[in-house]
Amino acid sequence: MSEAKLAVITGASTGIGYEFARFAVEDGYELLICADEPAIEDAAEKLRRLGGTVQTMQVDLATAQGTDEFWAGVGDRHIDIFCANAGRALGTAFHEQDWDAIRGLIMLNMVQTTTLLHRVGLRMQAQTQGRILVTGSIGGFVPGPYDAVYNSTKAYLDSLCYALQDEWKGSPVTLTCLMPGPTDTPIFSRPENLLSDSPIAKNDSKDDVTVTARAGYEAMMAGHKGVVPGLVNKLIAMLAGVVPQSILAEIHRRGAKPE
Amino acid sequence: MTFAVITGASTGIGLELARCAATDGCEILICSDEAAIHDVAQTLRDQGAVVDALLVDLGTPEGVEALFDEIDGRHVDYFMANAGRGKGGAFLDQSEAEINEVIGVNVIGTTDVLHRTVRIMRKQGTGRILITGSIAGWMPGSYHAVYNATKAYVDLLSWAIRNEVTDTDITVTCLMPGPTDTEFFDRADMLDTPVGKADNKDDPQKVAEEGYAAMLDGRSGVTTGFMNKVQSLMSGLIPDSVLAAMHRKMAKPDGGPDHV
Repeated sequence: MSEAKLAVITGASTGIGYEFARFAVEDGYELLICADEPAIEDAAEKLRRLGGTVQTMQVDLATAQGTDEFWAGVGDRHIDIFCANAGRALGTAFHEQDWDAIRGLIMLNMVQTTTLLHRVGLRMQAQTQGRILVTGSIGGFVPGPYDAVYNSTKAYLDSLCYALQDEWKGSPVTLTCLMPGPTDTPIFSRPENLLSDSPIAKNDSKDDVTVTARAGYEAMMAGHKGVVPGLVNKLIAMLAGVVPQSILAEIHRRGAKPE
Repeated sequence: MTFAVITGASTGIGLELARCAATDGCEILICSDEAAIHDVAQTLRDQGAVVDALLVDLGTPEGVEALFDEIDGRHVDYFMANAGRGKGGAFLDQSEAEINEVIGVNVIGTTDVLHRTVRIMRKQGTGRILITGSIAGWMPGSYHAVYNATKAYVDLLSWAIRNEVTDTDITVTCLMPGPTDTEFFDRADMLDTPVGKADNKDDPQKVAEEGYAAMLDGRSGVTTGFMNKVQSLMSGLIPDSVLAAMHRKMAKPDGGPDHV
């Protein structure tokens, strides 16, 4: 049993993280998955029906204690795959957001991701083997009026990933950054965020979650640096390099401002 | 009297921003996490300025609370969110405490003061905000990874907030200096890097003057120094992996390993 390779995936109860978990089970990995909600058990049940060996943890990675608890659950095991996927959005205007919610978003999207990348990075360098997949976002290329802090946290993650890839150049550890566009997951409809009234939440042409996650998973397995799934998203990522920030901000406002 | 608040004003760009505001006739409130802030205040007072100084660590919630207790409901005309720290070296060689300190000041502290300031200025209906971002935000920072990533956060946040307040008389300006001749590199343990040693870094006084003028004009952003303008223009066109490799050449400590 201990022969099986281990995949550790955060934020795996739904959405892109659940899809990563499904692909890893299909590839024969043993799983340790976590989320901050009881739905992680339902996800594990579905994955077990697919034949997976699945360990779950319900922890809040938006706190340092939750992150430590999760890391204690990983223990000193050899980690073959780590998907740093847990993240949330918030929505609405910056001044209307509650400070504790903003702080929680920064803690979840940035601080715990950085902490776990640091711990997993050290572990994998010692193992001289490992694959890491980080869920960034094309939101990181675009100033995000009406979800300002979210987009900024993703800019942080995108930048950090490219820097670490360069630092780890020539090492046996690979790091891949998945930068999805708007994808059809619960991120837009969670009760605690204020995005559900925005045009982007109501838009029915969002990317398919399986297609998005598959692009990221395959890029990780191939050791690619980054992947922006979908033609329109690729175009946005390219344009973001040449279009002034003020225009990018205006485009984002139209999608994210509550109606 | 015009009231200006400047964070991280004990040295470097923040000190020069404080001088700009004092010379401009503002009453100023300056803060820093080091006692030298009181010497700066005395020097500016000796030159005739009205100065209030506060020793606080904006990397802590208490520090931010103390700053706004000091502001105490006053009308804030200008707010310059300048406080920030760097930390050089390879990511995996840094401690979690060092990493969290950079994020704590550059991201959490900056976001907290901006959140409070935007609320104050929205009530006032007017105000000018200057945020010290960096051209580092447009370039992944090999051997300065967390710092550059925090500046990517700050730069993007600045443009997003600016867009949100377009229906008011509030403006948000992002100052994006390149390498500037301040104590930054010493404090970031980067004196043994090519960028730390370079003797052609920008003059903090000029950088601050350009930033201050841009804030008064309500411009969206200002990149100081000719080479920095070239670099920030290029960063939109060059792939991130190439930018990261360029950054490695500037920021990798001399004699350090090629990889961990």
